[in-house]
Amino acid sequence: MLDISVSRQLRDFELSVDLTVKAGENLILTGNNGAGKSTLLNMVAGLMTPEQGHIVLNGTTLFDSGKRIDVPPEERRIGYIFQNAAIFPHLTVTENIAYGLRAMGMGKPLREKKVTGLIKQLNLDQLKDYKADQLSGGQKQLVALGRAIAIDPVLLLLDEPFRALDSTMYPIVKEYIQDVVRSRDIPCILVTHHISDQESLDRRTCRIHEGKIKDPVPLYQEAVQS
Amino acid sequence: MATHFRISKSLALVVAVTSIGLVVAYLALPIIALFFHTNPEQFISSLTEPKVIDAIVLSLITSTIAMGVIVLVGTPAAYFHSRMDYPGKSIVDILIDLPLVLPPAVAGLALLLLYGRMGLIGQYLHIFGIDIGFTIIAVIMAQIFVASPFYLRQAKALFRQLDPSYEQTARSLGASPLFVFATIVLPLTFEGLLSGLVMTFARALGEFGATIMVAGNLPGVTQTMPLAIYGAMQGDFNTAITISILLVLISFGIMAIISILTKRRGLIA
Repeated sequence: MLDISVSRQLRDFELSVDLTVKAGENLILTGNNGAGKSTLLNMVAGLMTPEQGHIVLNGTTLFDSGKRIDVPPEERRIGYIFQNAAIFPHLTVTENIAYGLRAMGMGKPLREKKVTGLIKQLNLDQLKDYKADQLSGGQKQLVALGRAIAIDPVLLLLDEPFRALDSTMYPIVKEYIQDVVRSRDIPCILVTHHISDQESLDRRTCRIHEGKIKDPVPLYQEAVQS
Repeated sequence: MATHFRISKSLALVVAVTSIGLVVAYLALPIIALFFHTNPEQFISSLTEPKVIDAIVLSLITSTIAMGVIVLVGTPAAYFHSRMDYPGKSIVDILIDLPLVLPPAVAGLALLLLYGRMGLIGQYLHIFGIDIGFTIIAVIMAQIFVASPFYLRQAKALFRQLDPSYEQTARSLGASPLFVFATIVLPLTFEGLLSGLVMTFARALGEFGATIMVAGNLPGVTQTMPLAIYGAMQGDFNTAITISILLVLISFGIMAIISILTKRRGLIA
């Protein structure tokens, strides 16, 4: 479970968010550009420091301003996918997916076995030697997903993962995300503007406006209850 | 209409040929003149003179050390400068560029007033028996001062252009900052950094004004190739021409390397 309670003064407003995401839950975060969605993901990932508050993941404190705890991003084991997928342009698809395992010092035979399995699972066999500039937007997202999943993350953060996808890739990526979150039973925060994503992926949708959560009510449950 | 088009097209051709011809002639003729005043025998015989060899060796050693210092200190400095916001950053930007427009003689005098025997720091170093002025260290310091902007500017621009999401993704995948730098930042900027480095080496190799002020012109001690040209102009004209030709050849080679690197970078981008 992910428990977030953070605040930080941004340029135009104060970001102040209290949020809990359960294991296996796919929390959808929406909001206008500049509302603080990506900033929140960056704080959870450890790429930006909140001024106040705490972030606790599965009982482990990642950040606590009072206790002066701030676990560096490389020790948080969070699968974070950026809007642009950020596929390392000098590395092949295989090398991209293996990157996290290499950084963690995993031996080559084990690494290769794991990466090969992921490539097969993601149907990227044909593209395994390609570089970023030879991939479509959807293929890049799949590689980014594979790269994030490879490190066996305890949390997934996805920033607009559907933005660059065409109609063929969209259901594939969406289904894969759902599958990973459910089968691995990990919390996931997904930032998106797509209304349909919110409908079909969702357990809960939160709208963030000028740094504050505006709809913290579980919409899905509310709809069922009413 | 067609005639008008033909006239403007031929006019453009005339202007193009004339202007490009003028540029090429103006830049190439002095270089050609250098080669006209010598012959292969003279060139070889001057090249084997001890003072010429000394100047070449000294130039290569000092320029290489200067380049090494600039890379070791300049790479992290440029990286953090481009990735961080701090008070006075724009002043640091100006300071980095300053040696490009500062007359080398001013740079030399400034270095002398800092590290010379009576200088701000030099007077204290002198107490401990350390004298920097008019030594090989002074040569290297002058070269670092005038050549550093060529590397720093390039490195700053490359790091600034690099999308931070690559580094952030790498960190979140479990890579330490050093691992990220070695496996992401460096490979993605390597060719650009290398071309900046080659320019830095070229500038250090050709450094004259600051060196003569702070290090003097002592054969075998501080006399680099440009200083040796200056020294030889007093009587040994052939030696001056030989060293000049050598510097032209090195400079040409360096520019060719940069051109290849830039083209390769263009292809990758």
